[in-house]
Amino acid sequence: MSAATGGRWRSGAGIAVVASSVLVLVAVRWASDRAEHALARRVAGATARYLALVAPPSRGSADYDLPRLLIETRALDGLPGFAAQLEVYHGTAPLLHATARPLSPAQFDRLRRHATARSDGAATLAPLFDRDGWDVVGVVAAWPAGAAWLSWRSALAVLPSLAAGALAAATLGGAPGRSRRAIRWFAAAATVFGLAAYGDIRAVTQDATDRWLGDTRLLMQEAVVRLPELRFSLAALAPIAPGTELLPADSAASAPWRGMVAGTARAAVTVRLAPGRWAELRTAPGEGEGWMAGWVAVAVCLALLGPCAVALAAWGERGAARPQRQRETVAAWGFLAPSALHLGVFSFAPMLFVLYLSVHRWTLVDPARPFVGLANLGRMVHDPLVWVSLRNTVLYALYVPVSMILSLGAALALNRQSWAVRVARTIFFLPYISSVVAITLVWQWMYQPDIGVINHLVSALGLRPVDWLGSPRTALVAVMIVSVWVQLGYQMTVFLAGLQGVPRAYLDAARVDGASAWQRFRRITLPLLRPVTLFVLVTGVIGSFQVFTYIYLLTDGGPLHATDVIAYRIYQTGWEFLQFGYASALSLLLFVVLFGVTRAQPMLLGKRADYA
Amino acid sequence: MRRRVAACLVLWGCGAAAEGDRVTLELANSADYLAARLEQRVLAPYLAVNPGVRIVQQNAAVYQAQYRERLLTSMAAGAPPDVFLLDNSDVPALVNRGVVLDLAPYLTRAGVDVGCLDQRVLAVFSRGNGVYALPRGYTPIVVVYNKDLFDRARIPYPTDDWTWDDFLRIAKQLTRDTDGDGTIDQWGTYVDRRPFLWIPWVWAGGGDVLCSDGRRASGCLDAPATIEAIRWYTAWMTTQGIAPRTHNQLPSVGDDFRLFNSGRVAMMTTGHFWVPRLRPYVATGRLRVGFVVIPHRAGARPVTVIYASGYAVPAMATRRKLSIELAAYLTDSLADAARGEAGLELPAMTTATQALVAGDTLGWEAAFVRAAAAGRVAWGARIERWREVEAVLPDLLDRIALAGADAAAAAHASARALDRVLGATR
Amino acid sequence: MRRVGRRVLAGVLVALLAAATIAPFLYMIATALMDEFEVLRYPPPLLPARPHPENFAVALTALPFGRFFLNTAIVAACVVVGQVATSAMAAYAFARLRFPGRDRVFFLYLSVLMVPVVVLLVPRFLIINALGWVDSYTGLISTELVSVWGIFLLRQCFLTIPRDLEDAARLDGAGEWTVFWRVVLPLSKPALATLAVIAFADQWKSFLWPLIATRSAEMSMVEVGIASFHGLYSTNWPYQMAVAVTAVVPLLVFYFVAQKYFIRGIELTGPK
Repeated sequence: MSAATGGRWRSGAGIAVVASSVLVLVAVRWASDRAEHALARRVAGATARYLALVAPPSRGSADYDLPRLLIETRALDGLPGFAAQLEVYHGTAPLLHATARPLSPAQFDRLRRHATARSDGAATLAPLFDRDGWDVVGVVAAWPAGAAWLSWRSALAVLPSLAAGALAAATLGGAPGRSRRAIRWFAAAATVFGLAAYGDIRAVTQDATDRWLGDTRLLMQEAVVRLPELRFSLAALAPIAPGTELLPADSAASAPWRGMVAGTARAAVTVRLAPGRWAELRTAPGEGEGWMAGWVAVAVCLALLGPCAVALAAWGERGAARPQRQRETVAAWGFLAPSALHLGVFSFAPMLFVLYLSVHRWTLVDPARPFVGLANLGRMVHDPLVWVSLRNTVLYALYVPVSMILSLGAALALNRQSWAVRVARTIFFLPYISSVVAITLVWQWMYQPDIGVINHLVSALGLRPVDWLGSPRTALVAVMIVSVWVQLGYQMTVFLAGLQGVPRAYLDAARVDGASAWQRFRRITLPLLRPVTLFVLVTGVIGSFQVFTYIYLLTDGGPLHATDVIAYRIYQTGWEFLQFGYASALSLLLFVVLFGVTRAQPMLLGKRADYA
Repeated sequence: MRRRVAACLVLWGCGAAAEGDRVTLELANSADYLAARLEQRVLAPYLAVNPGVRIVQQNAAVYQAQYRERLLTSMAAGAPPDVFLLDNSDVPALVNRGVVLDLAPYLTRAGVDVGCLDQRVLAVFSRGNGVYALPRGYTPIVVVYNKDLFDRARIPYPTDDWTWDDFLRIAKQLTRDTDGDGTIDQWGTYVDRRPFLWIPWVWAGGGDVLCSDGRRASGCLDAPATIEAIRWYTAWMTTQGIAPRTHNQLPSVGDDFRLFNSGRVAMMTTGHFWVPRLRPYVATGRLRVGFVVIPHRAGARPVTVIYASGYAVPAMATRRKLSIELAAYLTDSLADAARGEAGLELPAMTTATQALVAGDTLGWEAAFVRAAAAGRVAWGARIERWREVEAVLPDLLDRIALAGADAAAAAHASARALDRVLGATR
Repeated sequence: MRRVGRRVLAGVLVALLAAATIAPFLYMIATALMDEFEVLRYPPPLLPARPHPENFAVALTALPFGRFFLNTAIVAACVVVGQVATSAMAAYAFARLRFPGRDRVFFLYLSVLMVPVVVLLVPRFLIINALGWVDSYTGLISTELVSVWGIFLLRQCFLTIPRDLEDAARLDGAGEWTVFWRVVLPLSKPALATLAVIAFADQWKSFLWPLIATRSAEMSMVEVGIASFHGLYSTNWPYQMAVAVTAVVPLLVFYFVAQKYFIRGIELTGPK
């Protein structure tokens, strides 16, 4: 290999090392900018609600008495320790700084119509409602403080990371062992840097939350000073900070503190209401504070981009000796890239979220998701219905082989081109494309025990009528029959596609050799069809383990839980009982079962236990 | 009203000033196509005077489950609709979580006079002084009977003070083999195993499925009065033979309505939601129908259940004023009158109900109003975990009806299961 | 003689199975033609006394079904194109290329199928809501563009294609893309057509995601529209069936036409 190519790999790796460090810094800056904006928005909102509480209305209207509003607003300016940078407008006229530029009528109008805080240039505008909280009469504007760039901590951490990166890049083209060691060191240094950057994000958001708590505390204390009767009514004071908890407290710590309350992380501060009377103001900590918040992942992943790039460069440089193998790998990932990216966003991320939920409690409508550890798992073990539904699911899955045999037979019979065959194929496909809501209805009528068509046929055959969907003994079978009916055409279509891969020449040769139709099928078609059969089996079983719609529409899980399957349990737990944490834990159980079943299936179809 | 017109004019002015910056309000409804069309009609005047507002109606019906899915996901994402229909059985869960706005402070501004509303229905959506939805309509659960079958058997129509003994006697008289082929083809009544329909029968027998605090079932569901009521109710089918064997009772099967409109069942438990279905039959002379209060056991109080729905605004509503005004508009007397005419429910506004009663020549609405006088708030509107309870209760009647279990044993088993669900035992 | 007998037997069996398959559908059509009283009679009639074809016109105008059909067609077409393209590419990598961790990655892909859709709905909705795609074609289409099911299907079908032709192309110096585009894809037309048809059908009758991801009637899809005839307490069955029957027609035509591609026209020769 020429020195020039090695140099190219090296300089590319060097650029990646620097770029990943810069990306981390940009992320820190972005997070801190976000936190400051959120802070400005919250402070503006709290100030508006504070003013609504303390400013008296003008007589005969819900609007404020303007001179008094002016006084209350000016008083804010002199509030010791109040950190926020604000302007208050009544209508479009500024109150706090008389020389400030008035708001444009269009800005005010937009705010009034949408009645929600919004960013407008550098400022965040929050609506000031009238006394009744009904109409917007003014605006509180807040300007976020400048975002932070780099703390001494990250500055210290970035240097070793850069140095290790440079060293690792320099080893490219040398002994593979050395470069591997260097990359490992680089990865370690980059992780430290990522964590330090996360520390910055955490510190910034924590600081923003603290400042908000501090400012809100000041506003509350000021409100109590102005309206002493408020000290007896936390409920009247609480509207200043909606979405928080305001509870009586009995100590007077001055600094904000953090802790767990009933499984959820909380940031809190003590508000002094009167001598000897305190309240505790609790809120959710900033989004950058928790470990699960994703910022750790963002910072560390961005920092690790550098080591990954160097490792990739090392692999590329090394693999230049085996161009075929390397070309194939690159090509493969090129082919996989679109699907991998899409699955990453729309499937794997949601799956991780489900995993996260499985150790939390979530009602779906509640923003709080307290951590409950393995409680969901424990509940699962003791829930008899879970095991009933799992048994039903396994029984239900038995329809898959039946429909496979029928559909393979149909596919073999219809593997020709003729008018009648095309019509027959279309008929078999009909159930699969029909509206699910409509066909379940038709089946319910056909299954009706007294007047349904099926029992007419049954009685015509001299058998006793059956209460198909209504009896615990037959309900599951009845649902399975519908499933076979629906899946038949779809599976037949897939088998037909597979049969096109069976070369006719083989079959013709066998026929010349005198092999019977059965022998030809057994010895040639079936083995060649193995990949497609495996596909139908695996997707059929996975689909049957997740059957929900037919159960839901045909029997709603009844009677007496005879058709209560695991997917139905998950649905009911999550959507009807609003226990998404437990539903996620059940999904995890289903996932584990399916994972095992899917791994085992290839063995059913032959000696080789792989998916070839 | 004048204030609302003034507000509309102001809004209209704003709309003209900033064309293209129209406010879009989302209104979520569990309406099928007919109900959606009705709401569209109700909304037309509002849109005419509010050109600056665009309303996106989100309708999803299908037994309400899909409506909940849509509503709850949008809430989970922090983007709820501006106004949504709140069913009484979602009130505890959503109100306790603080996701529904307390409308009480804004009612006067929105021009809502709660004095005009039916107080029992208002109570469904109130907690203390808070009002969490503006009630739209309600229905008591009643008994519907086929007047032709009564006339043919020369039985006088039931009155509101009838008892279980009267019911049983009438049902026995009406159960007969009309064509003489040896099998019964006309039944006195029908056993519906869906809890929302049989719970009022238990109440009317002096029992209840949960104890009054809603925290446990044992001691109440397995109390003698309750067991007696359940035994009596299921006996129609098992031992008395006055009700046909019932099967799958999902609403999509529709056996109950088929049996009733073809004159095979004389008396059935139902609510106001049957009125629009029955009207074409009555109009074409196929049926003559009356409604009456659920009979009570001698010694017990007459009682039934009230199911209600109302329009609510999410707590995090950004355009609070517009949202509340829209909710108020959707529940004002004009809207209620239009809905009352459509017949899906009784309007929550008493004046609208009175007008409906006055204009009804069949006497149906009057019977519903009389039944509602004995109405109680449904369990679903009182306790948060009702849906879990409701998932356990079908087993109780299924065990008796399908597996032939004894009422007492089944009630004991269900009571224990419910205690577990409610956390009364671990 | 025996062969003819077997043929006839197979034909009779298939005809019986087809009759059983189509019976519920015929009942759907019969119901769509009944009036509101007939459909609720006890016992229900099998055929309407007098057909009411006007049900179709009334049902299709009761809601903006033209718009629903258009939306569904647009979404389904985009999704089919996306799924066929991404599935074929990924399947080619899994079936024909060697790279480290291939089977593990494949199993990771498969694991996506093992989580029930009802729990994935919420996080998916959170994502499209954060991206501002709720109630838009983008939101409806984006989540469906890749189907692991399709990747798996094509992978299995690619495995059945003999390697000789590819190897010949490789010997001629063709790159992976050329092999994929000029050799493998033309040989797997039946599989691609199958995937297209089934993906189209799946989108055509998809219900839960369109229900959650759309809000206005302008963005609604056919199956959601069909469900709108389902009230809380009553259902207009003839209308519902009329629309359901209508909704099947485009798919039937599509399937009937696409069959040309299901069965390979040119005979594939195996190695001699």
